[in-house]
Amino acid sequence: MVLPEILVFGGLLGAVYALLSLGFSLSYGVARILNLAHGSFYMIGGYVYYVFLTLSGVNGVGSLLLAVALTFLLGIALYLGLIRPVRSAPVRVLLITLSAAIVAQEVVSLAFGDRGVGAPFIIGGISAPLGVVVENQRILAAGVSLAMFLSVWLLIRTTKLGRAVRAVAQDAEAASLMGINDTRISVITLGLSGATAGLAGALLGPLTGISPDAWLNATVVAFAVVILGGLGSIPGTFLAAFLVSYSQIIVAFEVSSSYEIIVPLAVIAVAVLVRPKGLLGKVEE
Amino acid sequence: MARSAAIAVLVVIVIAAVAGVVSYYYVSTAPASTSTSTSTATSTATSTATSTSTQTVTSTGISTVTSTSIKTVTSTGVQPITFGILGPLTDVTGIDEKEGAQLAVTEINAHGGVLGRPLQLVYEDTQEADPTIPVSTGLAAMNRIVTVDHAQVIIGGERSDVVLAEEQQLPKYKVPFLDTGAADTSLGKQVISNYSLYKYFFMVSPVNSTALATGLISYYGYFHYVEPNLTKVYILAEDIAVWHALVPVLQYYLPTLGFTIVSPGGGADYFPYGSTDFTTQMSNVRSTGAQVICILAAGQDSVQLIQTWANLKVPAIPMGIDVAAESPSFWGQTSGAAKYETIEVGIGDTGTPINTIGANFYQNYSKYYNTLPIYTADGAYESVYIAAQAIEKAGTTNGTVLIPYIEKTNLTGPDGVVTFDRSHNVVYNPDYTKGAALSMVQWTAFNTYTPVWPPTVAKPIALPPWM
Repeated sequence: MVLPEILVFGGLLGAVYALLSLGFSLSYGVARILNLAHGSFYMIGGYVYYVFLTLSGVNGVGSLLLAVALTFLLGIALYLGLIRPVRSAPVRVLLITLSAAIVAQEVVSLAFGDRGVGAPFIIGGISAPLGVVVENQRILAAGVSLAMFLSVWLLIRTTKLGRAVRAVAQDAEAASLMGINDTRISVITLGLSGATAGLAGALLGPLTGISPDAWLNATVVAFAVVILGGLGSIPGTFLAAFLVSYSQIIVAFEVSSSYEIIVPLAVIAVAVLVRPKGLLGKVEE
Repeated sequence: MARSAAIAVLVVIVIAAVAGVVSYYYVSTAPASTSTSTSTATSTATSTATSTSTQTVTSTGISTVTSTSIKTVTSTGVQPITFGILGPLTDVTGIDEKEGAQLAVTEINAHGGVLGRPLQLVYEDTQEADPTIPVSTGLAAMNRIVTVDHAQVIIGGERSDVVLAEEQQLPKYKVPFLDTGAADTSLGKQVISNYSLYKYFFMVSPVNSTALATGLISYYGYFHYVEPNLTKVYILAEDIAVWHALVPVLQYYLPTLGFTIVSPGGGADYFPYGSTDFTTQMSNVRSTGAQVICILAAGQDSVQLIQTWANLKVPAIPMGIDVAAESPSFWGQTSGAAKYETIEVGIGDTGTPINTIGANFYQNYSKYYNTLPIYTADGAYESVYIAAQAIEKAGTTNGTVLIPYIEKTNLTGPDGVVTFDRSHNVVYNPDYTKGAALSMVQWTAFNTYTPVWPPTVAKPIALPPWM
C-alpha cells in the first residue's frame, strides 16, 4: 500500500522545500539576483545548528534561532560584500555567487571534514499519520517550515515593509522615485533569503545529515521549484514545492530512489521549454 | 627611487630570512618516515625518541615492536626507498591506510630498513571517498605520486571505479600497486586477461567481492540456524560496481539457505552513493515485512541509513557489509543508533586478535593513534611488509622485477595468511591459518562490537527490542 506513504512523505518534504525555495524566489523576484550560493545558506544553517547543539550545549530551539540569525546576517554580508559591487552584470553575479558557494564548501570541509554531520533531533519519537510511520522531527520540520513560510508571506502582504518589497519587485526605478531605498530592500531580501534557507537546513539536517556539498542539491531543488512556480511568485513557489516533492517521492517509490535526484533537473528542463513563465509567474525572463 | 629600491631589497631579505627559519624548523622536526607530496626522494631528516623497545622477528618477516612511542631512524646520506600512499586521506579509509603503513614503516626501519635503506612514505590524496569527485582526480594524484614523488611502490585505493582507472595506468608507470580498499573482481580479471600489462596490480585487502559474498552467505547460513524464523531479506545496496557484482551471488545462494528476498524484483534496492534520505527505503522495508536488511555500503551514507532505521524502529535487523560502520567513530556518528547492526569485517578487526602479529598490530595501532583500525589499516600494514620482503629478496626496487616476488608472498598478518591467486587477489579462506579470513561483528556499545561469527569466536546475536 504505497499511496499513504506518498501522501505523507511528499507533503512533509514539500513543506520544507517551500521554505527552502522561498528565499530564492524573493531574491530573484525582488532584487533580481540569481544567487547560486542560496544552497550554501541551507548547508551553513545545518552546520550552525549542529555546532551550537552538540558542541556548545545550546538547546534545540536556541540552536535553531541562532542558525536563523547567523544565516540572515550571512545573506546580508553576501549581498553587501560580493553581490552589490557587480549587481549591474548578471553574469558576474552568477559567477561570484557560484564561487562563494564553492569556497563555503571548502571552508566547511576543512573545518569539519568531508563526511556529513548529524545533529540530534529536537523532538524524538515516531508518529503514524495515515498509518505511515515517520519521525516526529520530520513533522516538526514541516510544521515550522509552513509557519515560517506563512509568516514571511504575511510580512510581504500586510506590512509597510512588505509593500515596499512588492513595489521594488514590480518596478525598482519607480519605487526608488517614490522614496523606497532599493539597497535597503535588497539587503533585507537577501537576509530573509539566507534565514529561510538556513532554517530549512537546520530543520532537515538532523534527518538527512549535513555535508559540505549539501548546498548543490539544495540549490538545484530551489531553482527547480522557483522556475516551475514562476519567478517572483510566492504562491507559485508554494505550489511548485509540493509538485516537485511529490514527483520525487512518486519516482522513489514507484521506480527507484536512484532516479529521485533527476526529478528537479527534469523539472527545470521541462519548465524552461514548455512554460518559461512558470505556473503563476509574474516576471518574464 | 634609490630609497624605494633599498626598501624592496630589505623586504626581500626579510622574507627570505623568515622562510629560511620556518623551513629549517619544519625540516628539523619532521618525522623521517614521512614526507609531503612535494618532497624529493632523498629526504634525510632525522628524528629520535628515547623509548626502549623489544622487538621480535617472525619467520614471515613481520616485526613486532613494543616500544612506547613511534621511533624513526634514518641514516644521513642513504637514499630511502619510497612507498606512496594513494587514497582518500581525509576519510577514515585513507587515514587508516596512512596510519597502518606508518606503523609498518616504523617497525621495518627499526630493524634497519630494507637492503640497508630506510623506508619513507609519500602521500597523495585522491578524495575518492567523496562520491562527487571524478575519477580524474585519482588519476592526477597517481601521476603525481609516481612522477613527482617518485614512489617505487603504491599502496592504497578505496573506490573501485577509481582503482580500476588507476589500474589502467600501471603499464605506463610499471610500479606495483597494492590495493588495500577496493574489492571489485574486475580488478583481478584484468590481471588474468592481460597479465603482461596488469601484473603490477595486487589486491591485498579486502578479499574480493566474490569472497565477501561467500563470507556473508556463510554467515547467513549460520544466522538461519540460530534464528530460523527470520527469513525475509531486503537487500539495500549502494549503486556502485562492487555491489552490482556481489548481489547476483546473494540472489543465487540466499534462497538455497531458506531465505526469501523481498526487495524489489527479488534483487537489490539500489540507492545513489552518497544518499542522505532513507525514508523511502525504510518505508519499503517495513511494507514488505522484511525481517533482515542486507546492507551493502562502502560510503558514509550508511550513517543516515542506520539512524533512519533506528529512529523509525523498523522491525528488521541490519546485517551486511558496511564500511563506515567498521570505524570506531560510527557509534558517535549515529548517536548510538548503530547498536544491533551486524557487519562483515576482516577477522583481524573484531577486537579479538587471531595471532601474535594481530595482537601487536592492534595494540600498537590503538596506542599510537588512539583509535581502532579498520580493514584498510590492516591492508596497508601488510602491504608495506609484502613490498619490503619482495624488495629484500629481489635485491632491487625495479617494479617489473618485483612482481614474481610479490606473487610468491606467504605472509602472516593481522587477518590471517596472505597469499595471492592467479588474479593477484588475496586468497580467502575461512581458516585464518590458511588464508585471509572474515568475521561478522555486532555493534553492542560505544567503541565496542562483538564477534557473532564464525562459531569459533561467536557470541549470541542480539535482536533490536522492537523486533
